[in-house]
Amino acid sequence: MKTSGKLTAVKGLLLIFFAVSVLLPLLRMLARMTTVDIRGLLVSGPFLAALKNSLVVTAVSTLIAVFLATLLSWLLERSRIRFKGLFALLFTLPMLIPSISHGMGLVVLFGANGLVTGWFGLKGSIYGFWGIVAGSVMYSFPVAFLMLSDILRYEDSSPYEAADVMGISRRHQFASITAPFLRRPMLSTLFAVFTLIIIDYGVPLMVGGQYKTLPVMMYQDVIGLLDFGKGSVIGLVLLTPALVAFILDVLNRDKLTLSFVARPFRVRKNRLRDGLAYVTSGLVSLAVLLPIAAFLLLTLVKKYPSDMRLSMDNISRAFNMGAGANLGHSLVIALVTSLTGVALSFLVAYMTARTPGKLSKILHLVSLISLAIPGIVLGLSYVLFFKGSLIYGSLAILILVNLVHFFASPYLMIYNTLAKLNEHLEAVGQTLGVSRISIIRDVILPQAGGTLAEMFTYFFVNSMMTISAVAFLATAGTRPLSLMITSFEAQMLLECAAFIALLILTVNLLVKGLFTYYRSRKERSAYEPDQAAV
Amino acid sequence: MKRVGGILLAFLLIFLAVGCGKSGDEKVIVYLSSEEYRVEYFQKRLKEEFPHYEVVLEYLPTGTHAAKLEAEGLETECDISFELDYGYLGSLEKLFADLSAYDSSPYLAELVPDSGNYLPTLRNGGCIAINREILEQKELPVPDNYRDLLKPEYKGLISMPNPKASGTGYMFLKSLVNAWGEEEALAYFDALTSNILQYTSSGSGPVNALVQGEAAIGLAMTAQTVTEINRGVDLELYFFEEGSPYSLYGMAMIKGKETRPAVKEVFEFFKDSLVIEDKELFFPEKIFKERDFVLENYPVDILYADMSGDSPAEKARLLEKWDH
Amino acid sequence: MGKNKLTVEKLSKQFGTNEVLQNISFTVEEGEFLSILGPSGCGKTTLLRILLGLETAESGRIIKDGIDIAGLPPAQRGMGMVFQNYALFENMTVLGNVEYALKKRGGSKKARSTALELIERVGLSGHLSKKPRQLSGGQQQRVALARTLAVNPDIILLDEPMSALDVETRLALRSEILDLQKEFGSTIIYITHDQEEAFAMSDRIMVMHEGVIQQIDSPHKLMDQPANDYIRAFVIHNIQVKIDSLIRYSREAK
Repeated sequence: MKTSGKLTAVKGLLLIFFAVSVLLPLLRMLARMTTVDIRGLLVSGPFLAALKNSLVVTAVSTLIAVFLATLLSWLLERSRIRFKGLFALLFTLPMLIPSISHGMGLVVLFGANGLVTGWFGLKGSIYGFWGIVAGSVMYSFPVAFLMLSDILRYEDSSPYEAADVMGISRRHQFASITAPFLRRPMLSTLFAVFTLIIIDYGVPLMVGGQYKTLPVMMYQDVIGLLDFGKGSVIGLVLLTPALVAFILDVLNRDKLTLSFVARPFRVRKNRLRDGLAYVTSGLVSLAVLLPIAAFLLLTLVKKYPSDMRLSMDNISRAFNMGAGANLGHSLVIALVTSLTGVALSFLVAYMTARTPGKLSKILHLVSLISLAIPGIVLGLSYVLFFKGSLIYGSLAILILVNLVHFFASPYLMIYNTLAKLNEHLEAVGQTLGVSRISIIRDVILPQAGGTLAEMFTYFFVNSMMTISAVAFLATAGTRPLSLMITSFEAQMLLECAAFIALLILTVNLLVKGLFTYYRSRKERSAYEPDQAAV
Repeated sequence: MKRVGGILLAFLLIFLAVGCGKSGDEKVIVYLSSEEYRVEYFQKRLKEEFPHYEVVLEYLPTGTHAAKLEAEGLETECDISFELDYGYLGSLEKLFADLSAYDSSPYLAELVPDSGNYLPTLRNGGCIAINREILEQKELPVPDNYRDLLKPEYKGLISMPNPKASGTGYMFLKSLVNAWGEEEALAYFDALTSNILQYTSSGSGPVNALVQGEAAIGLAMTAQTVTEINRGVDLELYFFEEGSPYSLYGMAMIKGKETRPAVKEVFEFFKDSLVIEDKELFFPEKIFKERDFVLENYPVDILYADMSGDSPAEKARLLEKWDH
Repeated sequence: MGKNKLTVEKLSKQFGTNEVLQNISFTVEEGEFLSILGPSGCGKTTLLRILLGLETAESGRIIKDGIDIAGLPPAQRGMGMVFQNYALFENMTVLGNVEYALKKRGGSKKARSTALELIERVGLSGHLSKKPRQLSGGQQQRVALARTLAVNPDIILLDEPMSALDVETRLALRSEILDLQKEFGSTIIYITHDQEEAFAMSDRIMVMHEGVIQQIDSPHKLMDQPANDYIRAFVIHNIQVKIDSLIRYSREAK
């Protein structure tokens, strides 16, 4: 009874933490909603038009991104091409820079006077529907790619081998084995990508032209008109897809715990398929690298496009304006956010995944709320709630806001990992006279190592590139690097903005590289006998 | 467990350590939305003038500046707000200290706000900026008036800031509403929309689009256009007969902060020296009754549009009707 | 045999309004192999958790060797448990799994030698440095048994240990478990929903349904004198079907 009392106390503390860091600030924000004519807003012409635009452009972008991701993850997992690691790394590059930079990249490349437009004499405009689609696909494709690669990597090959033996055609194999196997993960990937795209305003703000989406409308209401109430209402509307995804996820959470060792695929020789894989992977890599090359070019010329002489002006200008100090702030923020974030999400997920009870369910729900709060709304609610407090204006509030903003995804990663571990481990410990803490340290943590590293990377990368939530909370002494992109962009110093994007990319790439190295080492050791123990 | 506790404790300490900022009577915090090169100049001058003070110039894009003040209210750490546009200043009025003790007679009368809670710092005029090279490529004439811009041959060549996001965009809208009447002006922009390449979110968007060759005609900021011309970019600027629309920017002290001598000194230095130096160096447009400033390539004797009746309520009302 | 090892008196447990165990009383004799047989949801796992001390009962007593152990923590009850799916420590080797608890309780040198001896006795000496996922299901079960035996319990509880295995392994493991029981002289409480398994291995079988003991008797007696219709329908009918199919299976295998 004693231990369960302790667990309840920990859960209570965690709930208090979430109340203070999520619920109360949000309530402060929502209090401003009472003055809004919600019904009037929701049936107004501009709102409905923006809603329709958002839905259409998000749906199209989602379908394209997931289709591309399916194709490429399948080609990488089921072909014999070389440089798979390199391709996989390239495909995920766009995840490592802020979405607003993708918009910028598109303008530089495909704008009326863009580099590519110039070379090929293209006509037509990137601004509008297809601009948003292109930018959205850019940054959401890597997410879908990672999710689907994971699924395909752990698919069991034995049903296919059996089907081959029985002489079942490839098409039937696809219909009766692959399709049912992929249905659930495909659905969650579609939802994840959809949610990601529909709340983004970075891309539509840059290349949306007159195609106005809901997040842009929210942005203009909140920032342009100081109408926080109306903005929050739109924010709540944007929350719906995440909520639906969450409910579906809860309803579908069954039999996930059954773990079995899948037999890996033995890929046969197939020239045509491998050729196709090379071509497609190469094309996508090119598409990913183009904007980055454009940033590099922009960084290194004097003034694009009128003065194309090489120069270090933009770099030294960025550093004169504090890029060095801001990089320092960003690194501290990202590091502390990642460490506390990993610790906190592990603790919460341990409680919700491995100690049943009503409190655990509430905690689980609260943990996922942050998934759906748009950054602008979260940032402003923090201003409203924390102004005048000790942490206001300090690095601590930036760390806290990032922690909350990015909590849900890493939490879900570790939640799934912990839920898959045998449910009786702690009970085994109890019957053997080994404490819960020892079991966590010696058995659970070592098995969660890969996930923990992935969570760390997630927190770190996102803290490095986030703009929306921190924009209102940073001061001159705490300003993270990413905010320099918006201020350069506002002053139309695209060259400097491009350099900052590259700087962020470099840092994130390093962290991501370390993670990949760590995981590949870990995966290798998991399947090898442990010599040291003998 | 001990180790975990140790780590948590360490985090707590980091939080507290970074949580404790410095404070003091010597520190003055200014939120400002001026361009980077002007901020740099102000910073240099402030250091010369107040070596014993720590004056923090906190650059914030206009919207963030206003949204942050609105949310922080009187608890803000900001002491002086510099260069918000009059629309924002009007809606944030209740936050500002009364400035009626200062002599407002040197300013043009129409620039002095009724409330007396803020003072003008800058007039930002608009012009029609042209990238002649692109027009010539397409063999198109330079437009003569607003109506010309509706011609189908200019389709996709015009850039304008979105009035909802940018004060520059709004001033074009308001000037035509005053000149032609509301209905006609709105109908005009409805028609113009189909010719517009993109409504930019920032007032500086159109000139940049022109510089980059994205667009040929910009409803733009005069000062920015001149800056680019002086940098050697081949742009031209025109005013149509309705006159140059303009928006006004001002400065204010947060209520309660005016009692601090340091804040007051810095505010007065901005008012009496920096604003004037800024006119001499960067933004010469007229705000004083009896003082004019001349800058290379800057048009003189600009005919300004009628911008009367501009208030936050009017802006909100007009923007309600704006659905682009 | 004959000496009372464990006496359970009037054990009751509710989850909300759901009465999971109603007034359960039974005894287990020293060295006995007792199976608890019942469909899932009949309360058998809850009963096991209460015996182990992982769960507390609302009322009732648990007496082991004459002492009421209901208040003791799990590790001091002298009971070991082999969990469903074994719950092995996947990150540790076979040796690591078995010696882990011993090391935690002090004396790592002694832990090593005890563990090595146990692993030898369950016949896994050749697999010391393998990880659980490199072992077969049967081998995993033996690791779980060795890990449980390491802390020297005198009653071992097994919760559906065979459910993840194929038929052949099950048959082989049955005799292995019985052999180990003889060797270590343990008393075994064995949970299963497989009638045929219970009949083949047990000294006595306790049939549970909806939180109530339907009958406790030797397999013979259960067959000859079923206490009620439930036993007749659920236990005996199914066992006959099972036996028939097994006979068929062994014929085909030949």
